[in-house]
Amino acid sequence: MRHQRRRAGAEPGTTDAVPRPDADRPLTLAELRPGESACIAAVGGQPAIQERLRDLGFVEGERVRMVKTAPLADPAEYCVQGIDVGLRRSEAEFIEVRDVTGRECRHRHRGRHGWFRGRSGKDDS
Amino acid sequence: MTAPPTRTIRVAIAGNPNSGKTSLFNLLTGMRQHVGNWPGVTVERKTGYLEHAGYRIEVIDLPGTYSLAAYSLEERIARDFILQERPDVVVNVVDAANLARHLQLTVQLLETGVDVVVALNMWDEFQRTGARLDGTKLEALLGVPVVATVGHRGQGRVPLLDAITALAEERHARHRHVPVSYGPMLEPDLLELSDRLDAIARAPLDLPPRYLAVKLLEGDNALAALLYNRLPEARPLLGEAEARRARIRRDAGREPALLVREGRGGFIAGLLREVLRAPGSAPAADRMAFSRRLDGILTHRWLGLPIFALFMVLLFNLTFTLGAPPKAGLAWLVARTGELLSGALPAGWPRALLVDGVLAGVGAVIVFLPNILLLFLGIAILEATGYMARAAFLMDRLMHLLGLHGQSFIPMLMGFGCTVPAVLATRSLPNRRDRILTALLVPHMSCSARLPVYILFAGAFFPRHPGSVVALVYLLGVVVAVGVGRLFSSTLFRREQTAFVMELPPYRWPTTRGLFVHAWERTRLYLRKMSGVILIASVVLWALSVFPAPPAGATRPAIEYSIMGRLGHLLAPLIAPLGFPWQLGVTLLGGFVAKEVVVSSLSVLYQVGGTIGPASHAGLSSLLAGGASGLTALTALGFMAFVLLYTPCVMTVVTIRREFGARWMWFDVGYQLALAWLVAFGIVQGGRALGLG
Repeated sequence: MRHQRRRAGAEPGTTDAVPRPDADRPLTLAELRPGESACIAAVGGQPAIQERLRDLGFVEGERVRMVKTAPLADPAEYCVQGIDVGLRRSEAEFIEVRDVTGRECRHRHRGRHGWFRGRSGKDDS
Repeated sequence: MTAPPTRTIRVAIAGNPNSGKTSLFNLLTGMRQHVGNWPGVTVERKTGYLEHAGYRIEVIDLPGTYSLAAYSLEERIARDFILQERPDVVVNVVDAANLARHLQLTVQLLETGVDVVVALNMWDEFQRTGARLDGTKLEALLGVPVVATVGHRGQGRVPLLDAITALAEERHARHRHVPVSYGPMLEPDLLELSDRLDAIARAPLDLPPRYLAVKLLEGDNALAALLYNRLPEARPLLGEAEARRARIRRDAGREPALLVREGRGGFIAGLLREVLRAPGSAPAADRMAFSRRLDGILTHRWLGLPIFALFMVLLFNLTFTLGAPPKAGLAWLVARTGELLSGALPAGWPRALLVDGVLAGVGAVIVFLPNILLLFLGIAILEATGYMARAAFLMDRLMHLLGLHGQSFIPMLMGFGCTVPAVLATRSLPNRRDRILTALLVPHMSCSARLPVYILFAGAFFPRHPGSVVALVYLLGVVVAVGVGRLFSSTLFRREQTAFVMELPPYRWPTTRGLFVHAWERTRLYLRKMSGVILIASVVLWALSVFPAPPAGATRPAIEYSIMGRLGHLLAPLIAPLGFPWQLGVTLLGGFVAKEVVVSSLSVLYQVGGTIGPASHAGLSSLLAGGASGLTALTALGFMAFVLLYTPCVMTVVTIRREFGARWMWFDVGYQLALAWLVAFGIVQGGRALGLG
């Protein structure tokens, strides 16, 4: 149910009840599963929310890892730039992502040190 | 004895939330600090004093912010203070183990031209990562002194103070210009704009022209407005900056603000490449790794909520159960003092004023002291360990139903104990909107002072199911809070949307001293602010209930002849539609002092006599149920609902006024009265229409 709207090109004949008119719609942070990581493609929403999200490290080009959801399914915890941040689903939807799972992405300021990246391991390589 | 200080240095502490700002503030000021509010807002302002090297140093703790962009209230406070009050030195607290993130604020501070000392806090944790940092080089590149500190261990105090005084002494020698380059898209415009500003005034608004130019290109409306008002010659530049922004946006295909951010990020990245030697392994992650392991339990899908419930039970019991014996002790002390005074003084109104007015008022504040100190201690523990953020994370979905932030759960829960500390607990919430909305809803959580009323009425009118009826009343409060919360957040607070965007900081072991300083300061603030107003309020209410004195040979209780008694008669038509006899009007007026007074004033009015004890309680109960009161089970239920929902006690009202201003206080009083009347009317008339009662 939570991942109903996952990824363009879901296998035909799956339980996706409603046909999605926006199959090319970019993936957002809200659709990541625990343990998955992705690269931030764009940050949307009201300017104040955008600023806030960017201040916390959700900047285009950064890598984010979904840690887990809260017991009541919302909000969720994400790891970005060495800190953990809780975001409501409604805010996570403002953040478009690409390159889901462990792949490295283009990085303008790679000055961030590799050793800040939280638990490195299975999903990071 | 040291010589008296010759000069005062004003130091502001700035830093990200969770940078250890508080521990550094405690490290600098120790016990010599006090907590207040920033003018007009409900953000805590902490100030402390100390002496060092012949200087008197005033330390002001700015709210924790990620940037100086002035989007949030906290950012605006921090920025206004730095830009307009110009502290002599700003101590910028950064987490040494996460410099890439924390230096964002540092760069913004440096651009304002203020004198900065960078405190590399949590230095011990940084060292444990195995990484190395070239401090001399960092100082050279930033152009400001850098000091390593460990706030919670008290390390680095003297070097930090030395750096502060050294900087203040040679104020004429400003630190060198920070060469943040914003790239080919922005630089030409920046140079032109800053030259134009420079031509208008040497230092416009006492700020570096380049800083203003960056802000104008960023599209910072608050600063543009400031410039518009304070420097009329610069007005044409504002339109020009807007045109430049539009052009940059078109050429670069991106927001200029984003380009500015990238410029800063690039500068920081370059800087860190020069000063940091990071080992290949990932030991810095240990800090988060430990927290994650702990979170594996504390925010676990199934265990998270039960553990949270357990902590809440502990907090509640710490506050109200552990606080009960000292509270009883203080109450006894107050009563005993009253008796002694009564014995020592001749009868008459001066004695009554002193005992029933002044002492009762002061007593009301003092008896809450143990509860409030313990609650603040509990909250300080939750905040200092980092669990508070997890509590918000766990509860957010639930509180979102009320249009609130997850962290509002704790004040709401405290409301079941006593509304006053609960309103004070809203201080820990991250923004003003949530603080006010929570404070408006907290009174619907039925406080313990209302319980005696329910026990009396439920026992008298529902002898077979008193417990269920009381539970129903509590539930009604919660349901009403949900309804009112949704209503207010979609109307009154519609424009101020709240977002749950919150850092979950690593867990930390708090220092005992820090906890007690924090709890005690908040308690002291409460005491100081309460005592005066409560004194006046309780004297006034006392006077209303005894003046004028009953005529000679009066047979009915004295209170009936007093102003309050007369008011009760006056109010009778207002409460008649609710089926309440006039006596209840008087008790509700008395309940404004404290809700439990409803019971004692009932016994006075119905002349059961004496203070409330088991015997008189039973007498009152049978009297009420016997029909002499004119009440039925239905109107009794309506009355309980009214007591639950109407204007909270004077202590709460005063607290709301102190925290949020007179406007919100009157709003709260008004809407709660209206709500209580409507709900009681609905219960009584609805019940009658259904043929009950």
